[in-house]
Amino acid sequence: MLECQLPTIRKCLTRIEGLDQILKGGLPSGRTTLIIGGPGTGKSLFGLEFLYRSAQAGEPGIFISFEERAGPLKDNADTLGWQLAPLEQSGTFFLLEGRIDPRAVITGDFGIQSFLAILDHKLKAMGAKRIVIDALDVLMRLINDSRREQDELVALHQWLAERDVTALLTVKAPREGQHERNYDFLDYLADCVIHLDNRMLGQLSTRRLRVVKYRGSGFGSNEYPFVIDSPGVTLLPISEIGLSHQALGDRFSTGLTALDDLVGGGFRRASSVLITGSTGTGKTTLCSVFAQMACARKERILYISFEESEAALVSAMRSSGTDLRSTLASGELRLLTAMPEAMGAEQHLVRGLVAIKQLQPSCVVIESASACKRMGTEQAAFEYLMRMINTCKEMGITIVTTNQTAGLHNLDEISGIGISSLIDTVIQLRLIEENAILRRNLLVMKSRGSSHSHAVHDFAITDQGVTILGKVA
Amino acid sequence: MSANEYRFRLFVAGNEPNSHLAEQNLRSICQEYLSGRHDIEIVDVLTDFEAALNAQIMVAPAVVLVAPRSVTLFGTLADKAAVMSALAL
Repeated sequence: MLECQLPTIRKCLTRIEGLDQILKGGLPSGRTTLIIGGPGTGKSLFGLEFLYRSAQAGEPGIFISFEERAGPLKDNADTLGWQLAPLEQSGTFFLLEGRIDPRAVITGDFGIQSFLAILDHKLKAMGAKRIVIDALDVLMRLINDSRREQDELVALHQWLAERDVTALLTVKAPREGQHERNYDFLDYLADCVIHLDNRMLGQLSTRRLRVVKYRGSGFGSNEYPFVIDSPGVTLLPISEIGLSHQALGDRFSTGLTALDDLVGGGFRRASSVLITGSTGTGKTTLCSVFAQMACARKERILYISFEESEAALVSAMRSSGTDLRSTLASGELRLLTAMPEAMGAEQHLVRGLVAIKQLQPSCVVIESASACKRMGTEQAAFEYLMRMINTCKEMGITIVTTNQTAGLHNLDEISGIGISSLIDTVIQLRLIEENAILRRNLLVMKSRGSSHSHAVHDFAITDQGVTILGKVA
Repeated sequence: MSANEYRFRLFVAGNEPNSHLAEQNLRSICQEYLSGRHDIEIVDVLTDFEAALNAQIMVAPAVVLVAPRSVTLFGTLADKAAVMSALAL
């Protein structure tokens, strides 16, 4: 699937989530790749993750840092959950702190033979074929003569090529208006060039990656958002995603026998369900009943809430007859709560996708589509929901989302956010005031591939749970 | 006999010209100003890479003054005044 169509050049997997897809199989093997980015764009972490994942797969590598100290680098790795120490002990990872004492006095000519000699011995001793040289610009700045800098770069490039080493070099992007040092020349030497940046969109900072060059290979040419969070760098190659949804599967219970009947025998596996209604209509209650039922079947369920904290959700559900505490404790139900404003849509997406990958749930609940708009823009919310629904459908996971509508009778607001075409089943909940009594109505508006009821039903929520009462006369 | 007051380690890269130059320049300064008060240990980074690694010496030639104070110099030591000032001579 990742093989490239061109006369094949050898590739080396980065094992960074999403990057190999963009690079159509990985970095050019035995060649040099350049990562250019401003301070804090994540250059070092890309390099470190490449070597960490390679080492885990039994491919040894050497990381040379010319700027950052080993301590902070390892601390960073720690916070992402990367255990470097065992890999260092087993000889599959080596961190060389090449930091140059800033108080050192430079007078007269010198060369990088010492660095290469150290590297050569380490490469041979470890049998390593992967090298990351982090902040090569710092070493080059020491030379401070563009002619000699070029000579050293050519020598380094040659040296790496002779050893058939897959090298990743990182350099700091010059600030605007600053004289561009010899990056043009490095650009020319490298077979693959990747740019990273970190910019503000709205009030949220967004990291982006772009491949600007790849000799002998095709590559995804868009700008790809990425996130750095445990378990590492995650890229979201949105436009690389093809539609490969699984067919709708077997029916299973919604948690309410009467509701199963109304939707035509239960929800179907790998389908997407939307529960829509104004505030207080019982959307969360229905989701909880559904979650509880799934857990009773010993299925795992991921419940993403942008509206309530775990404590608030659990307590609200207890009052309507569903006690989620034991299912939470057993680990079958996992709650993921966050304020939509807390991070960008991309980061929410990564959290969601990572949780799905870890938990391997059979069902996912997202509450709510309307709250997702607070992630920034409507477009961001749409992309978040579209990606989550598509991922679930591809993995055969049933996904239930809720949407809070403003009006009581507004049918245009079904999905609110343009995801209607991805939704298989829509359940509308309404509160009706009649003869000074508030009644709850439920209507199955759509249920793909099922012969569902078209009648509005009354239902009640008591401390005993939800009861579907009967057709509205 | 106890070690001399000024102790240098000179990191050279085999027989290349810059390393020769650095050695000449260091010896001449020492002779002139530190006669009888200095030791120079020469480390070839091409064979003794562990020493270079431990001292974090990435470029050669490099001179490390180990005692009486710690000073690092890179290059051929071409600028005598700069070297003297760095060594506080």
